[in-house]
Amino acid sequence: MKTKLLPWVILLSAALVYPLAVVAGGSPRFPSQAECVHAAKGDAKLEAVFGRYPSVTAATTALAHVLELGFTGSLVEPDGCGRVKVVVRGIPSLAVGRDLIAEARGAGLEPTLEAAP
Amino acid sequence: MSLGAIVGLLALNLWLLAVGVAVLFAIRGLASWADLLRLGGLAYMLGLSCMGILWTWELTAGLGISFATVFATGFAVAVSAVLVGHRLGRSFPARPSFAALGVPSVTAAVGGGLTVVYLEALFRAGRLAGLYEFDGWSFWVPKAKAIYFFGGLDHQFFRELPNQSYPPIVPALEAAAFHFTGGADVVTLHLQFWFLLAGFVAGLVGILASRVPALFLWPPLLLVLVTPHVVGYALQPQGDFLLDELFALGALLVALWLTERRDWTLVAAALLLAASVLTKREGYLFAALVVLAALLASSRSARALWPKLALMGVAAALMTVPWRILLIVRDLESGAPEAGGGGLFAHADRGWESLRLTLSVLFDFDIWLVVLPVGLLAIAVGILNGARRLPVFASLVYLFGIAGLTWATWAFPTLPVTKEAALNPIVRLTGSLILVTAALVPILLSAGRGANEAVVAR
Amino acid sequence: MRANLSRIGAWLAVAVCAGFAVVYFAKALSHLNKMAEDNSAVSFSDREIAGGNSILVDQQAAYEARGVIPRDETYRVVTGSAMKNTTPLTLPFVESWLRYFLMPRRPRADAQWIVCYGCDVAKLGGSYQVLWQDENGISLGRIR
Repeated sequence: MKTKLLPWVILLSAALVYPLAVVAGGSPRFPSQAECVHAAKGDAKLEAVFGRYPSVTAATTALAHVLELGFTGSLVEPDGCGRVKVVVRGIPSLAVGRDLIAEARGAGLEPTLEAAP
Repeated sequence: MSLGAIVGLLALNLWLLAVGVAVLFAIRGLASWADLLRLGGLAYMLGLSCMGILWTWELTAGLGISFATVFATGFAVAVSAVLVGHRLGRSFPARPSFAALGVPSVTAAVGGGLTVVYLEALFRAGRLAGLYEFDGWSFWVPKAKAIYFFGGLDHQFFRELPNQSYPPIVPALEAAAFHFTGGADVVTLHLQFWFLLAGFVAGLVGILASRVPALFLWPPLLLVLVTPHVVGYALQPQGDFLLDELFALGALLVALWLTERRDWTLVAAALLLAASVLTKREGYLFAALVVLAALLASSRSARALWPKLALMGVAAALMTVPWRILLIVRDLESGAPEAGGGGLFAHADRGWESLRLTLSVLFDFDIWLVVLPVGLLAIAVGILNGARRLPVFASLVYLFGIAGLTWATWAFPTLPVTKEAALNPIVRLTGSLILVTAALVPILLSAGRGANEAVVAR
Repeated sequence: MRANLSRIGAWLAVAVCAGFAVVYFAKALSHLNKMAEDNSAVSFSDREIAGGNSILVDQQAAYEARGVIPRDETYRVVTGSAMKNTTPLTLPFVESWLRYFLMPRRPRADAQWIVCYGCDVAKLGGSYQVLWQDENGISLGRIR
């Protein structure tokens, strides 16, 4: 009986050991553009993102509108996932960030508070 | 790159397997569920071959590759195969029972276990690979994208992209993969080539496991799998490895036919070799050398064996005719060598250099380890065991293969005589003789052990 | 004698295969693990552009072209000498790489949409409206 089981035990162990060892180091990642969206967690290095666009050309139009509404210091930059974001950098704390978000929403914008990469 | 894309790709490959099971049923029947499980890898490769050949015909006729055509084509193949099999009186196992599977030996379990770990690691390595390969983004994937976005062999792209004469099985398969992954996901596409390698390994093991001792099967297979070139390049979304895999399995089935005379192996070989020809134009060379080697190895029984071998070769060649007609109709490159025929003598100085290059690559330890020396040793063992036909066949496969690979550099004077992959494809081309070694070594080591030369399936 | 030689030969073949397979199995596993880690560590953009990173000079050129040129429009890539920071692969291969990346957009010799890699704007045949440009001499625009 033991002789009959041993080969199957060897096969099963081999099939399971490697993936279990890999998963023990962390579950597998499935990259998407969402990985460049970093939710704000603490007070360090925050930014307000007014939107993400497929090109600088599209983002520049949005930037002009954001600047017109008084959010000076906004700029356009790649987000690292093939999109371009309109962003205000250097927000010192969550409290300041939330105030900025509220003000922007009052002006008809829909920004999100994120951690800078 | 999403889990959904991987699941979609799995669905496509399960469909290819399902079609292949029907084809296998038609050509040999299935005695038991254990038989089906054992030959699942071969079934997958047959399904891929049949679908690839039919996709080529459909594209040539102006049809496109879509969800509908993938399912309709597969359904038509499966239904036809089941009807043919039923008509031929093929058997299908009644109730699920794996009793006939038996218990693998410890050697087989260790070999199988190591292979499974290797394939798991390869999967993980390829899952998030970007498209870096020059030929991949230069023409293989663009052709696939053209089929995916525009439905068929778009006139502009198939004229303007390099290598017009390259047949469309790989782009068609990649386009089908794009449909199943939900978009032109060139990252997840690498896993399609993982399925192909896994199918080849499963096919080879399934065919040989009941014919040769585990100790003759697993070490040569593992040796080939761990060669630096296989580890580094097997998942590239190009045609090279699929050509090698189809050629190696086709050659193995022809070799088995030479000793066992079970005609189903010849039918299966015809499909695999036809698909190899429709994978890359070098497939003509490799398919022809298998047929020629088999003819010469069986010359003593020419009257009995040659008609069937010739029929197999002709059948395989006929399946590629529609593609050749399309090349002529659209006035595309035929893929003929720059210095074919008498032109070789105008470049006679390249002959010796091309041969040296071929041999230096085949015996290059950093590329292929000691695979070819093991192959040659296995031929010697077969001869010492008293076998004749198999060692002669294997020797001729190597001889004609080396001659063909030499010609592949010699006949193209614009190709520098170098191992540099960006300048000369010789390293990629030699993969065929390496993968076929994994297939032939086990039966060579087993050949002649017993009353006669037959390598009999248990 | 022959039987002994064949037996020795068979065992030698098995031993050589097994020996090299075991050693190189470990190397293969290590190499594949490293490949997996390297591939996972690459950013989304770097993975998407991949081979193009050695050609494009500026990834944004590809993203800009893809984001601005409609999918059913034609375009052309025009190269010239007014480029900075090129690699040896840029000018020979940027057109073919963009052909792969920008599909289903079709390249056409007389297209209105231009991806200019150091091109001579005066020779484009018409009034060139720049929609995006960078400091390397790459621009994206349209002939009016």
